[in-house]
Amino acid sequence: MTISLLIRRILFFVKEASHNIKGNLFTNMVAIFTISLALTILTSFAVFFINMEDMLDTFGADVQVIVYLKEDIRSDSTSPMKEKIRSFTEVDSINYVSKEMAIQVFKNELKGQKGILDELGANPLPSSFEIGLKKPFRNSDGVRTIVAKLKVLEGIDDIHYGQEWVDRFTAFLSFFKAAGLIIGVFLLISTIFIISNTIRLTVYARKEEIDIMRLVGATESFIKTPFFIEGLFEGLAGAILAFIMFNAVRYMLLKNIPASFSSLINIPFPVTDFMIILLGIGTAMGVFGSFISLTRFLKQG
Amino acid sequence: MIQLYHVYKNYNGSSPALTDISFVVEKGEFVFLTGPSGAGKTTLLKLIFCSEKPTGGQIIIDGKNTSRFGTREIAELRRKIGFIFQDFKLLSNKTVYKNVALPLDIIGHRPREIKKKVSYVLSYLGLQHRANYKPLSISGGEQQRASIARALVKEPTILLADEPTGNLDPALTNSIMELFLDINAKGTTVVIATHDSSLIKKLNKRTITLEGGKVIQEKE
Repeated sequence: MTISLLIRRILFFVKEASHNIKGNLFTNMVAIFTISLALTILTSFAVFFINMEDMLDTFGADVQVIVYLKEDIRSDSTSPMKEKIRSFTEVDSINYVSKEMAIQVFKNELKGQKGILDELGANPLPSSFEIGLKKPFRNSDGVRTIVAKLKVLEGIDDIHYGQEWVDRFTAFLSFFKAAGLIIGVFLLISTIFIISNTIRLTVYARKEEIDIMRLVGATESFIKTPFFIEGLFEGLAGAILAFIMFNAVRYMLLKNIPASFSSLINIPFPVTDFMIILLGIGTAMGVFGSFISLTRFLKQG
Repeated sequence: MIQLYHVYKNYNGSSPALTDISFVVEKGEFVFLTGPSGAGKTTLLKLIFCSEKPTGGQIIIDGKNTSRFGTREIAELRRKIGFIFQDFKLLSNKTVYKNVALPLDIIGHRPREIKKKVSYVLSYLGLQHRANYKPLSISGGEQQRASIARALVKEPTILLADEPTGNLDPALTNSIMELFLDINAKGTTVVIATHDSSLIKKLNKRTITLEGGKVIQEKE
């Protein structure tokens, strides 16, 4: 195919597609609106899920192991011990809390009831290490592994971690991720299904036209291309509308829900990235939707 | 050249539409297919045009066996064949001009060339004043002429016509026939299905007569 023929073809297809959109305005509007609704639901779910996951991750940062050191530990052995613990793969951060710092924290917490502390006499609190874990290890298995490693170290009196809390949190997190994945996949498939069926309406509305095009010698690609352009346009317009609807709903929610929940409807990317992603998904779904419906339709004919 | 060898066509649950049809139409020939309604004329044209497949036998067009054709080869064949449909098959959402230009758009002609050819064929068929009308807003005779214009505009090597003068008055029928003879004289093979015996008598061309799906007579 020569370049001039290619350019003529492209111009012809774009003209055809725009003519078809104008000629079937109502069906196209229905398609665009359906696509935008499906994309709005999918986007809302994705945004909620990503924010919820982030929120749970911040809870996960609370998964902490506290190692209490023996009373008689020599002060010069804490530093090598800290380095040793820091070298464990699971460890993200380690903080040494001396006896003095511990009592200071305790005193601050018991402000106004100084009398109790005075009665204690000598400082009864042990020195300790507060160990933060890396993200992949903030779960039951991760905690068990590090605890096993810590137990064999010398100079350790006791190890504290909220075993029950960690177990519950881990179970909830796995459930949340699995449920999110299943719902997400289900929504994605339904969106593609809805989009391809909506586009099928526009294809069926022009069954006669497709038959006639074939009879006068049009190849399959000649028939399909204007439909792909239409699908692309419908996907793009649907995505723009979805972007507007999503933001309108978000704006209304932000005005009406308590501020503490507002982080759940934050857009997790820069707005331009979010727009590009949404337009990309919309366009791809429009083209993919027309591809599915046309392939099915042309096979029948 | 169109060659048919022992061609059969059966539709599910009905009597055979065509039985053992064999004939050859030479390049540049002018042939009438005739017979009563339901004789199988339209089915035969559809088989040559590859819009239906034969149940048995071989159809060879310009040396190529159509039974092995895929969608691309069928599309290529249809670009060479002009088909005038009994029910016109015009795109109702496009103007007469756009309908006639469609085969040239498909082949990929230049816009200037398309304009020249379409204008010529429209004025030849007396349709220039209807160029910007949609098919449903013009008369049946005009729709038929638009369908003829679409078949002729690409200067086909083979012209197949299914009752092309069915909706035309005698004067227009004569002028359309003149047109067919004219393009036949330029080398196009013409096969016309008609039950208009006066037309066949007047032109005195080779005639294949079908009845009940069989060739019952062939007259040179």
